[in-house]
Amino acid sequence: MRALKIYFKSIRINIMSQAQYRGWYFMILQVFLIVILDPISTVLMFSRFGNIGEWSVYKIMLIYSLAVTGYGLAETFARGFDYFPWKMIQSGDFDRLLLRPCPLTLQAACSYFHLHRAARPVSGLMVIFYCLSKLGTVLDTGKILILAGALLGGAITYAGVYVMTSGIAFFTVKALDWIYIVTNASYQVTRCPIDYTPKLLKNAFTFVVPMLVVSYYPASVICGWGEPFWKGVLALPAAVLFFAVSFVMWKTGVKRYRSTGS
Amino acid sequence: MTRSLKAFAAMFKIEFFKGIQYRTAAAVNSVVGLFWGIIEIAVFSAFYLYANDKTAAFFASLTLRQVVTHVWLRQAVIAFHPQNIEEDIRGKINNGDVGVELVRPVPLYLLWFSKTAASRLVLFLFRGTIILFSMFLSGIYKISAPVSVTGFLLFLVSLVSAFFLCAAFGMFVTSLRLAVDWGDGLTYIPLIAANVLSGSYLPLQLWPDFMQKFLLYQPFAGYLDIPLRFYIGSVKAGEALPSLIAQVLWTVFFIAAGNIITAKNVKNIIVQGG
Repeated sequence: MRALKIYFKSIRINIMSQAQYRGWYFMILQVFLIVILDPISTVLMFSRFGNIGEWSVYKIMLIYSLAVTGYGLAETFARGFDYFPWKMIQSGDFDRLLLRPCPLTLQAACSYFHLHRAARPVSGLMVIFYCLSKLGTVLDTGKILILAGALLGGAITYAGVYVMTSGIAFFTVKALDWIYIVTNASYQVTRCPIDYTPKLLKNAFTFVVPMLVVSYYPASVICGWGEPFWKGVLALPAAVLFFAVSFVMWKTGVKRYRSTGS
Repeated sequence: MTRSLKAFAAMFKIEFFKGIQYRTAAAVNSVVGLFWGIIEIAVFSAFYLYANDKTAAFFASLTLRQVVTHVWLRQAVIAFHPQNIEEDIRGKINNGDVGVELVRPVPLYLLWFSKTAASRLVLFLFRGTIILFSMFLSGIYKISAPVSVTGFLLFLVSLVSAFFLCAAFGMFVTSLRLAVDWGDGLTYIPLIAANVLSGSYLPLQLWPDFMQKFLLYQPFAGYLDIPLRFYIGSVKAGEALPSLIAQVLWTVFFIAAGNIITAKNVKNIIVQGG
């Protein structure tokens, strides 16, 4: 309970400090722009080439926005871990967290919070519902549960990605750009119709990072594209498993930490 | 002139050695670029090879081979694009060290222009390795040779021009950020617009046909799309010279605007911290 209170207090302080800037609302606008423009090449290509087999722009955008919404939720609520490798280790700021009488993981999670990051999950949700209505899918209780499982699973998976990369950052300190493969680059894979995705990518994003498990499979079950039911409900368990592994890596990293700053 | 060259050479040296120090980081950055390119090509080839409407690929202004080459060249040339204000410079604006920069015997604009340009050039050298790798890929993933010798030479000329255009625009945005109390948002929006309109999301020639005239002459075509058109040989007749001139004119425009805004913001500068 106390932990939750601290989490939300830290978030409040973060929001208030950002609102000090005169142009703070531009940051929200900026993320909205990125989110809207990111899939523009997919939309323009579909408008030029038309459907690919069974694949329409709405199907692709549904899968894509499922992944992006999960990513956005993680980015909103675990921003501290997203920033962690870049902001906390080299500067030695991590020492400060170690001194405080409060759970370490919690402190790291809420050390940063950026309100404008919420623009991504909000617009992602709007696209999901728009695509579902265009595809003529009617949501019943079961389907809503699968959808919620997928979104929650996505959030947990990407939170896991951040926690894992933070853990690994203890060892690598500066060579961090590979992180983009599992963050920003990873959901680009959903832009490719699954039948034409190279096997290697498909397997990596199913069995190593369960990104397609929280996007493509639930979408397929909800809209009835032919994947078996059990693959659609695997989103949450797979995400939790992935997070557990990530958490172990984070703990190992923390144990190995040697301060670099002053 | 000699002073600016000297400043640039010094900055380049500093940035270069900084880059060398973190060569693992640079190598990893290239791996990400390679990965990104492969995903892009997988998506493009799905459209070109499997779209239900077979005539669409035939009527598109670029062939799949040209698009693949565009994707790979982009992975290196994108290093020029200002994605953000230089981290160093942004830090100085935020923590008040900009005061120290103003004391130096080099004009602020020139100093920061050199820094911005130099760090981009170093990144470009590292990311050039992606193009080397893409030569060894097989099938549709392989990059093609330039369309002709003339095409390649014009590509090089246009590439140099793109380098200066990118640095000039990066500095234009940096000069906006000097008004520190506005925060980051205001500077990100022009950077995003530039990225989209540069053709780094989608080659500009695959955008809707009615937009083509606008797309060619807006400032950001010169970032990437114009030089690459020379390489892949998709320049339309009569557009070669005008597009090269447009690149230079936009560069001059952004250098002038950057200087004016820097001068104006320095007058009312807020030095944060001490």
